[in-house]
Amino acid sequence: MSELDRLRRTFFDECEELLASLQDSVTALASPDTGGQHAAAVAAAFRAAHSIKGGAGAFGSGILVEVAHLTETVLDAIRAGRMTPSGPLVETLLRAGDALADCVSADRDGVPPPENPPVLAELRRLLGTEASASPTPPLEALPDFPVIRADTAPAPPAPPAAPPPRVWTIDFAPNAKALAAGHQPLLVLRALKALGPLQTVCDSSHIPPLDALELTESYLRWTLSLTTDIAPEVVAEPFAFVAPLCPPQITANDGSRIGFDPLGVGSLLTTDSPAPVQEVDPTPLPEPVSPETDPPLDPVRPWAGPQQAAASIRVDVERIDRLVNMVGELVITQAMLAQQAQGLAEDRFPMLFQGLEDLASHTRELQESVMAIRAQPVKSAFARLPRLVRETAQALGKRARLTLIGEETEVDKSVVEGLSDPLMHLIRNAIDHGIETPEERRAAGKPEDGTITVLAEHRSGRIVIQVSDDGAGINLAAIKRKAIEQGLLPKGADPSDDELYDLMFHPGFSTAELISNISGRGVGMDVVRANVNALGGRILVRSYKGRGTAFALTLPLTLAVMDGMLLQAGEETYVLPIANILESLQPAADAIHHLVGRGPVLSVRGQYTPMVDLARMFGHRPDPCDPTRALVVLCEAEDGGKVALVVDSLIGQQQVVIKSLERNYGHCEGISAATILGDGRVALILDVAGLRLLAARRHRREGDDPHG
Amino acid sequence: MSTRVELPALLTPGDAVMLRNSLLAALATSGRIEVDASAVQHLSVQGVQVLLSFVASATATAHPWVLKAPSEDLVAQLESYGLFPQLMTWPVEV
Repeated sequence: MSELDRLRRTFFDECEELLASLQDSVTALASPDTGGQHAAAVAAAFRAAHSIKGGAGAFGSGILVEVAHLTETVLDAIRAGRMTPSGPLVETLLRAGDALADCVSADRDGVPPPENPPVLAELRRLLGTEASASPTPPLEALPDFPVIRADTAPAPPAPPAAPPPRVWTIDFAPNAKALAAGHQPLLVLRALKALGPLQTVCDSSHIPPLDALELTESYLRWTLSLTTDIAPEVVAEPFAFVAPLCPPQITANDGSRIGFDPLGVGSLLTTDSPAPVQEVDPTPLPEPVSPETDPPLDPVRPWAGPQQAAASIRVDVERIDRLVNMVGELVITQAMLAQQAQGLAEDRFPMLFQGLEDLASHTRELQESVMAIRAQPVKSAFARLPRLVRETAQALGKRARLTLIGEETEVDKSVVEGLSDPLMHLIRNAIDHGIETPEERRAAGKPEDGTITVLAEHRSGRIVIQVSDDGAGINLAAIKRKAIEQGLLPKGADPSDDELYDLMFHPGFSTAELISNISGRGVGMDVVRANVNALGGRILVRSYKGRGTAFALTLPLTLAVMDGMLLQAGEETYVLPIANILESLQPAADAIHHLVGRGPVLSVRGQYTPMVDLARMFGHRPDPCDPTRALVVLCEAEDGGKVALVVDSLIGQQQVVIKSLERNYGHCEGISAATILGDGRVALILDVAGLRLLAARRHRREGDDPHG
Repeated sequence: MSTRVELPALLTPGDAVMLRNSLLAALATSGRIEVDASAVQHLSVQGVQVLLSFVASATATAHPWVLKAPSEDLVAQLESYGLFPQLMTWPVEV
């Protein structure tokens, strides 16, 4: 991959974050401004649009620059109080964000971006620059910042003629501080080249001989000649970050000059000669304009330069993945050494045992640190959801609003990435088949706007992402009928609710024939479940007729390493996630009861928990063991359901490296993944909720087996 | 006897240090220096300064050298830096 490709990839990564920030900030404008949060939201949105524009300019993405530029200009007008962020304006800005996302996606995928996104016309109309803009202006023809006049008198109509190009002469001499801060003149030069014909002359006369060369010094100086009709602000943009360290001298052939505030953060001070601005008629603005509050036209235009030296660095994911893999290997090696040492007398090798203890401690710390690097807020997986809700609801003639809770919840990057598709699918389904039409909702005494809630939280050492709606709920009777029709259930079957929900994920189960409030609920749900399973997670469904449905995706926080308890069941060793274990005990005979059709249950402090004989369940021995002579591990799944696992013994606690079974073999019910033990053997990692479901199904199928 | 110095694919600021050392060592020899530029994809400004400084040193001491098979990226980036005129004066073997 060339350096330019790397830079492009970084730009696209940044765009994802910036687009999410833009969307969040603009969405915040739709809420009442109770605590002055609008100002912060507008500033954040402005920064995002501005940064996208800057990067896009560097890569010559003309349409992206234009959409970002107009968006930024509208936000600037809001910031200056010349526009008020009411509903339609917020909608336009959201659509602008969507258009930017489309342009970024197109650029990333190497396909032509949308030629003339409709939102461009909307933005121009807002700014009153419609007449002067060509349908698909090239980058060089980007309109200047429109200046909305401060005076209240009606302004003359915007002159349609484009301003004549100016020749900007730029004297740029990066200094040692700029180089030390990581600035690379090549990026500036490329960004300028994207603005118009550029003549570049490099003065290398100050380069010393090699033995006198100071690598931290800067010896080069550039004299650049840029011909463009782009606004001074745009010409200055490539220098936004480097200007505070070494401000360039920028003058135009008409006497205009761009200066930078040496004490500030790149503030553009003056243009001695007014830039060719487009005066606009405020009357076309659909948004309320507050001329009485308009500030006087300020020659010092705000400049969104760098806010602060970044306290973070961007690292290629592959490098982190390599680190994660190495930590995984280290965990296995550490387990192997610990196992080898088990046969040694601790008092004879105290230093060895101390070393092993330190190794275990450092390995754990290293593993947690590496995982923390990969952790990121689930927010990025939520970024596209507002748009999805808006568009799906519009397309279906429904009304839905989205509530996001716990966006800052952190989870492994790969989990965040894998969440996107299942989430989108669940939300589409929720609007399509869960939320009723406004008329139906009114008739049911509900508000016309349906609510989709996406919640993220940590629970029992896992992350739970829940997509819920306040729609009609799932019609279980219809699922049962359909399952019987398709031969998935025998006639007269009496499945539990969970088993019926489970059928929705059966490939090809759900079709349009299903009755209205669940129709299609299962279309593609098998794919959703496959995706979630591939992440080591599962989906739990809860639905209440007439009140709504919730799909809870429970996922591991990390896909790499976990704390496990090694169990012996027959001849096999299994790993049980520590997070699932409540307690272990050897039950008395009178604590074990048998429920008809539900198998044996364990009574612990007045609560009854289904018992699962692990060795028998997985076919390691045909006969059940006597639980009073074995050991019972009481476990709790993420959904709060409990199960008592009957095992032969507990071997010990250990960190284990998770190896996906889905990817390497296939889905196994009751098993979430596999791992490699210290002695090189493979052990399966138990899935408590899956075991519970598996046991319930088996008991029902086999009848009332008193031993489970 | 010639000395061959390979320019790395990514001539980052960090690599510029090593390149400087390699070129200084090459300049200490008497033979022709072959600067293999076939793999270059990215030229940091620090790398450019090292190259220019090497050229200045070699020229000043009349040390024979040649730029071997400069990559497209190298040429394009020197052009972007405004150093195409300088490149045109360097001895190049394709």
